[in-house]
Amino acid sequence: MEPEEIRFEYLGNTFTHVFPQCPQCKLVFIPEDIVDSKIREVEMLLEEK
Amino acid sequence: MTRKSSKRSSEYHGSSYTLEDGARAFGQKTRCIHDALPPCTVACPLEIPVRSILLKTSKGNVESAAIEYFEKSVLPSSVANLCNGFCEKKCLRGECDESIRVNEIERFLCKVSGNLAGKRTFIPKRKQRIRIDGANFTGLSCGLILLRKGYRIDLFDPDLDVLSACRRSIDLDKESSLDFLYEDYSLLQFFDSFSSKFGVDGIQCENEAYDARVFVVSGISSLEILELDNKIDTVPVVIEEDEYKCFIQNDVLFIRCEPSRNPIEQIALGKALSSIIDQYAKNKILVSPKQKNKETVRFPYTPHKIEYADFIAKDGTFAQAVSEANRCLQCSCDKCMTSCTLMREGRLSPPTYIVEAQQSLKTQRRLHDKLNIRRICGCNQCGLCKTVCPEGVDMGEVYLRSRQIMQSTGEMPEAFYDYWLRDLSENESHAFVGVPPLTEDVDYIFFPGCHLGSSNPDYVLQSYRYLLQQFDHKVAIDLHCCGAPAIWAGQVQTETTIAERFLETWKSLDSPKVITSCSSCRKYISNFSEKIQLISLWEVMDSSSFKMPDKQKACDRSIALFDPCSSRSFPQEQIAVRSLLRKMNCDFSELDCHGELAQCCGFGGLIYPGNPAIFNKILRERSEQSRLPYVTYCANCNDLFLWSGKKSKHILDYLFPSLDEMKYVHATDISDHRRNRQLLRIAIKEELSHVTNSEEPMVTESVDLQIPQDVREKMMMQLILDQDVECVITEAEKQGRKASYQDSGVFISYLSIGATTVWVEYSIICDNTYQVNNVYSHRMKIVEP
Repeated sequence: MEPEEIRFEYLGNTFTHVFPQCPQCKLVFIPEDIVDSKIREVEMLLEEK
Repeated sequence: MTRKSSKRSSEYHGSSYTLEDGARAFGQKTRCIHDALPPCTVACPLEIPVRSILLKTSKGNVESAAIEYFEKSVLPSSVANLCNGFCEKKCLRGECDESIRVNEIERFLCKVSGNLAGKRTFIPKRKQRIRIDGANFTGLSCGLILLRKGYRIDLFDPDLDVLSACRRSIDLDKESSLDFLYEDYSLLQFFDSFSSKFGVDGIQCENEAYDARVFVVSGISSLEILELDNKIDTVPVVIEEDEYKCFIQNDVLFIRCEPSRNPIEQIALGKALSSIIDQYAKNKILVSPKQKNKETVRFPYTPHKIEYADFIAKDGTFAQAVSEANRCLQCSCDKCMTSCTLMREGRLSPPTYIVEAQQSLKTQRRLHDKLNIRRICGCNQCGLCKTVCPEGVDMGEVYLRSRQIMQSTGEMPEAFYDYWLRDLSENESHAFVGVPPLTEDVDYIFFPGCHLGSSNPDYVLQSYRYLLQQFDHKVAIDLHCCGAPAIWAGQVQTETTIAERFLETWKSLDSPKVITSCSSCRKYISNFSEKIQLISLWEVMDSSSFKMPDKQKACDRSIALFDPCSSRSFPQEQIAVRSLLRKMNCDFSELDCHGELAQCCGFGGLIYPGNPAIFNKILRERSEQSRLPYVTYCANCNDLFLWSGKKSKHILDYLFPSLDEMKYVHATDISDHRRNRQLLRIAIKEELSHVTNSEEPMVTESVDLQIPQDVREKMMMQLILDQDVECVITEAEKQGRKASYQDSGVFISYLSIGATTVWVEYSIICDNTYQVNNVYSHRMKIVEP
């Protein structure tokens, strides 16, 4: 896997962040601790905006 | 058997959203009495905040109470001694024993607090000079307020001193003393900017020297009044519906007024005059003071018993004053806020919540405007706020309309209701209406609701067997959903489709009576059409020859009965359940919130994904209402309590003792619910030996998943099904789209399912057998390149 800029979409907003990605199958890896902290935080912010 | 084909009915308009509905819901803010003034303050011409003063006194905070009283009464000693008790006449306490002796408390505050005027730290300095002709209560109060605002005041009166000037302006016995007046007069004398001249009659107008001049009629000579009457170009200023003549000459404001003979009303007039003068001095404009609120609100109250203390201020003690102030009922209404966890947690008033919801839904929000989605999606829709509100304000409707608006504008995060709507859709695609074979007429239709069978298929099967026996097989069964998840999600279209489907079936069966086992189903079905006759399973069992279980098997333990929130609308259900429990010799106790105060367990409104914090708090509060195990007659409540670790049973566990084998340990999760619903459908088809058109193959997992309990609990919390995990693994294995942790044999993959992306960490045990090590999810979508 190699670091790649990954695009995310939530509630009409798009943004990018670097995560490891498989160059062949394009599978992304996001560890659980990032999901439970940063991603959850952004989700909550966007839900309340 | 009679069948009627009917066209799709469009008669259901249950809670379909219109702009008028939204306006009506938000318009309720004007009906809320939470912020209304108590009757004592409304009755008082000076609008003294009696409730607040008594609260402070009751807490022993006498100085703070006195400061508030001195501020609002202007002339504290005069008010305490001369007021004839406007507030006491309206005191609600008077309806149960005797009104609070507010005058005595006021006298006590004057006695113990001394001269608090000296404590005023900052007085602005102003150059403007105001002349007041008339040293009655109006003149004194007007003068004192203006002195506190920093104006220079010259007071004139033809009488020889302030005492005789005031005495002449009111009706008072000759014997009565007005000596306390000196205490109030000393408040004016405290200011260097105050001067007075008594025994002066017919003073010529020295307009140039003053910025405003007030003539208070009872204190000045008739000559002056005549002079003023002859002036033209007067401007009327309205004070409490009375018109007073004002005119401006050479930038000097003249006001003439005629106070009533009541000293308190005189002080109120003085306050109003001071406001007019202050506005004129600052802005050179004439503004009538704000009208006093005269609307008396009937507050709900429960009088607490407090011994009537023999309290007289003259020689009353501090403890007696506190005791007397404690008798105050603190008239206000916070019924909804004390009953509802969501309302209480926000610590704001209902009108504020309504305004906040309205502002949240504006299409053009400013950057700092926050969408208060947590509150909108944190309401259980249980309707308790409306039940307890003396004005019937329905905050649930406010939040329901808000959800409908958000769904229509696309602002509702899909993930909040996605799981429940997919679950509803799954149920609706397989559900059917079963009719016993060879049955000519159907008299009843049993509508168990989705959750009873999800919780335990035998709950429905045994109940249905009983009903078939009871009503000579003339009972059909409808396994569809009542639409509650769609209603709670604000999905008007889905709700309407479900209602129309129900009505179509119901009419095709010749409008049979509907038997429900879930109060929420009953509530929402009754909204479909007023022609539908509904009865609960509990009422049928209670009124029929239902064979009660053997006493040995029946419950004789101590349990507490938890009424589901929707049962509030159907007291007959609550009575029937109690009767059934008694027939089983069940030793049950009532919770504090039972019957018409029944509260939601937390499931209602599907608030968990939108506001997990309030959901957990509600569930904890309900579970902790009693240490005893619960018995309830709602499968949702029962399952939720079991999940939270609270011992609970469904009443059917007692009524059909064969179901009782699992005791208090059986808690089903969302994957069990899907499986149980399928088992129920198969069991009902077998029961009726009736093959429906929609043959449903039994879904068996194609792979064997070994999921440890901790991962299963995580899946439950994140609303992830076994099926979802299976989809992720199957797809990963099929496409080879998986990552491994450094050849550890543990793979990870993800898949977008509904509104969430589900991640699964797993290892392969053998062909089609997987060990699930971890599961997590997020709502954000990964945009595939």
